[in-house]
Amino acid sequence: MIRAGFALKSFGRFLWKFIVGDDLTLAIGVLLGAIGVAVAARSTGAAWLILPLLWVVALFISLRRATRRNGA
Amino acid sequence: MTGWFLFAAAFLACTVEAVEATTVVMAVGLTRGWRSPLRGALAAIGVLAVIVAALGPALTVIPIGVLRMVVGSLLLIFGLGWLRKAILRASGYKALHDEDEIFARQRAAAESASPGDSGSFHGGDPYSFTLSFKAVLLEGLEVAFIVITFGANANAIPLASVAAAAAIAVTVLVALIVRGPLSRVPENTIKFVVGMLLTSFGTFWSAEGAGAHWPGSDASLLAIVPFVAAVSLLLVGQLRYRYRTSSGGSARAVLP
Repeated sequence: MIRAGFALKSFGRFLWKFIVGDDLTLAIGVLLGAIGVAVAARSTGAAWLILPLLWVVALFISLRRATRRNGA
Repeated sequence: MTGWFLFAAAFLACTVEAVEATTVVMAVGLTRGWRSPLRGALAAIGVLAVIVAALGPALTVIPIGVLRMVVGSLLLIFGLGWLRKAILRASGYKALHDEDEIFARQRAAAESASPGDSGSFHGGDPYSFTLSFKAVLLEGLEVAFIVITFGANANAIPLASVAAAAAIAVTVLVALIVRGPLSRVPENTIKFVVGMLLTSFGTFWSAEGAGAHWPGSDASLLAIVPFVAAVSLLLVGQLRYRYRTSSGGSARAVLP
């Protein structure tokens, strides 16, 4: 039972690392974008704009953080 | 049109991952013999085939709206991760992927590793088997993820699987001819293109699954892909400039 729990936890950690990677910013940007689209789609036809805009911002922030860590 | 994009993305993604896995298998095979690394590679391909065969049809049972939003978002996160790394490489902040260097490192490690107890491994070499199995499985998991998510969203898992199989066949064939690291494959550029395609499709499916209607429906991909490319190249340009001005050196270019 404990071993199964440990294996499950390890698998979850692997899956997280595999999809999200080492920077949570992109995942948060995409998640907020998808939620934003879902909410806005009820009232406007231009809801599709929200997702690309949010991931561009998230990518910009993520790259900025990565390059600052590298000493630039 | 979606079919061609899908085929191209799956083929290119699988090519770069196959090149990386082949480098490890070749390094071990040329150093310690071929039987065990080939067994390891085949075992890993078998595991990957089971994953695709089991998860692919299971995903198609989920309603398409939910599937596109959840799986599209996962694909977008995954694609942005590829794109982020590619932008960092292209601007000089991250080292370029170098198959020659990886091949030399793997070969040195294989030479210095102990011969292993072949008696307990059915006459094989456990080191070679394990290394080859892990390399093919880990590189292949990314391909399996792309094949499953792309295939399920576009309802074309067989097409995505064919693209992946074709990429593996071409890579193995070239590796057999070259008998060394496939360093001439423009891996860094291909990774950049794959990152852009994954991001474009992830954006399209995720927004559509969340309830948005893209102007022009599927044809909007003809605008999304260039938009993603333009944003990426702008970011590369900006970061290259910063890298040059901050380090006084010149960034190593990946893109033409």
